[in-house]
Amino acid sequence: MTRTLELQQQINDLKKQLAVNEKIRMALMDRVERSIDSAGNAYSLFESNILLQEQVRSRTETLEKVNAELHREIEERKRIEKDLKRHKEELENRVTIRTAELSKSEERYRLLVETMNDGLCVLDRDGKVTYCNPRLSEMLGYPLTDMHGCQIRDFFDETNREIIEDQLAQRRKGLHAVYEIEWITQHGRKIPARMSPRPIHDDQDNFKGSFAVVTDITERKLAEAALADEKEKLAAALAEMGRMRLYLNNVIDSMPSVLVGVDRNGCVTHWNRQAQAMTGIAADKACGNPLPPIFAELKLQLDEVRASIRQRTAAKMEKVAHLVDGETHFADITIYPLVTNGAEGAVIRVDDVTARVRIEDMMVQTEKMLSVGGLAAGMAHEINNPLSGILQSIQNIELRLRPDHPRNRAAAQALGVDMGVLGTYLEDRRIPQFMRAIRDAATRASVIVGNMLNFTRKFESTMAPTSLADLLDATIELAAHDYDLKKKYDFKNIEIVKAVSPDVPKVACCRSEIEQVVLNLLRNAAHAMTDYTVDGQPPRIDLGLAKEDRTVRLAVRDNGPGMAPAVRKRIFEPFFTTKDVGIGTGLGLSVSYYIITQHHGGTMTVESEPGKGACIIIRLPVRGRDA
Amino acid sequence: MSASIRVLVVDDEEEIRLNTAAFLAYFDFDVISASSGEQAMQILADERVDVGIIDMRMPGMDGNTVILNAHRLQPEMKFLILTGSINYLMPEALKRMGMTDDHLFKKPLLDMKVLVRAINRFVSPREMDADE
Repeated sequence: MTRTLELQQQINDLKKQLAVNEKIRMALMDRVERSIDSAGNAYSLFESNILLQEQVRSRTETLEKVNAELHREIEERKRIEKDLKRHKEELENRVTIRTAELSKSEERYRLLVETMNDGLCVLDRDGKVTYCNPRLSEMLGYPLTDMHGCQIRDFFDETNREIIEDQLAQRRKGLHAVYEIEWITQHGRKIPARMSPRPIHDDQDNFKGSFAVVTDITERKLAEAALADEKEKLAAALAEMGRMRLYLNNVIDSMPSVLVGVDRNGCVTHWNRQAQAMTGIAADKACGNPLPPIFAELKLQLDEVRASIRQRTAAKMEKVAHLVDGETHFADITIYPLVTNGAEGAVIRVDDVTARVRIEDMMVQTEKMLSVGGLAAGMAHEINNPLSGILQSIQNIELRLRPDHPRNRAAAQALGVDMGVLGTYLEDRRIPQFMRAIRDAATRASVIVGNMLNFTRKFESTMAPTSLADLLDATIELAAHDYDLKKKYDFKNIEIVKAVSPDVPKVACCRSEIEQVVLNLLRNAAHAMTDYTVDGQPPRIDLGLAKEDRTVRLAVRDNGPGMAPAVRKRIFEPFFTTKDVGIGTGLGLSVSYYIITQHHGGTMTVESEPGKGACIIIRLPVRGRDA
Repeated sequence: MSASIRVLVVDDEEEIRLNTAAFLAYFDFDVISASSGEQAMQILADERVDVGIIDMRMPGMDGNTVILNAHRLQPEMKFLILTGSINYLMPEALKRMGMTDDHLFKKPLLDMKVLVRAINRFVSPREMDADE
């Protein structure tokens, strides 16, 4: 500002000088004009005028320069002033807006604090409540006004008071971490809460107090407890399930049946121990693979499994015959479709029923024998009476034709018949031969009825410990005398080889019956070898006696023609015979079978192939039938 | 002679009754016969008999009853049983009379001489007929 005034002064001075100069110039000019007239000093005057003009021009130039600078400076000044003013206005504006904003924010925080779902409490440095929000008051059941100024520790029981004291101590150290605590309401109820604390410091960083957000976690705690409970239950259920699974697996593995699980494509999903035993394939090898070929041998086609799954019906195949080590075995196969929980698949169950089928066959056999027995018992009386008539009549006829009896002679004499001539006549007409035929036929019929009655006989005969080796010797002796021209065999021609193990114990049996059986077997063997022996060898019977577990095994083997399976299956049937009519009654083997199985609780089986001899095997329990 | 031994054959089957009676007569026994238990009782009411040969299964009175009734009428009388039944079991009452399986014969008899021997053994050893 001073500079401006200074400049103004200079400008004014210059202006005054300029005016003076002008006056001088005017006077000079006047003088010049007058001097021209006086031509004397004319030149000097001219010179002084030019010089003066030069001075004035230079001076004016300088003045104009100064003046322009001055102006620019003034302009600059004015612009600065204007800027300053604008800044100030802007500033004032901003302060106004900010102030408005601040008050709005404060309002918002207040609202937030008062309506938030969590409790909030502010404490001073001594743990006294300076503020708490309505939610906390609601949570604890105390009126807001009652809470202000209270010690925070008064809202807790002894255990939790320790926690809060500890927390306040931490706050003083500036530490803060979320923790959980249980408040006590006005009504003594416990409220578990999650605390989110912060210490408060003043501008000089002095501890001023603290605040904390209080979240009621009652529901969470309940949920947690429920969850823990659930977890426990689940764990127990899982454990139970595990046990159950183990148990079921044990059950499945212990089943006597083969159990195989398959999916809808026929791939194995389960393979129990029995399946392993039957196939020799381990479970881990079987699972995940298609059914092994052995099931094809069981005629179990995948199509049938699929059909069963599709139709959701169990399929059953009974007594499926298949070969195991060259021997015919039987299996019952059941396919159970699985329809639970959309798990499509099936369980295939295979039961080896070979033993049962054999027992059934035996039962059929026994039944046949019993039915023969029953038939015989019912018919015996009816048949025996007419047989009696025939046999007694023939005896009377024979008696009354005898020439030596006085009564016969007397009767003949009375009629004029000579007994001698009559005798000759009868012989001539072969009457005694016919009578013998009648007697023989009736006798044979009577023997058949007697044999049939063997099937009904109640055996009360006592079982005594018997050495089967001795019994064999005695029976061989008996057989040696049993030669019969009509039946075309002679034991003298048969080699009998006996092999007895040293450890064979005595067997509780009825000696006469077992003798009858063995004799029968020897006769059958001898008879079989009359026309054929294996490779034309001499006829030979091998008798074997050995201990087998709790039984004694007696084998009678011949080297005769053997028999076809069809015959083998039927040889124990009553009335089944391969011998010519009149030679066998067809009862010998079945009576033997009856004696062994029914009276002694043993078994009797046959092994034979055509052309390779036959072997009858008898197993008798060492301690008798009921042992 | 053994003519003094009187035998009563009781059987409902004619051929057997006839043959048994004829056979025993041939061996000089004094044989009478009856076709039923009832008829046998009528005979025994009037005549003394030494031995009865009794069939078991008959219409009307059965053999066991015949024996018991006959024994009451004539306590000295002996009995042989001749039956076609295969499962005949002798009642205790008959056993108490001293009868055993030796008195029991099953039909058909392949040789009727066993009856002759039995009669001679049980009834009259003194009068055994040696005729064969």
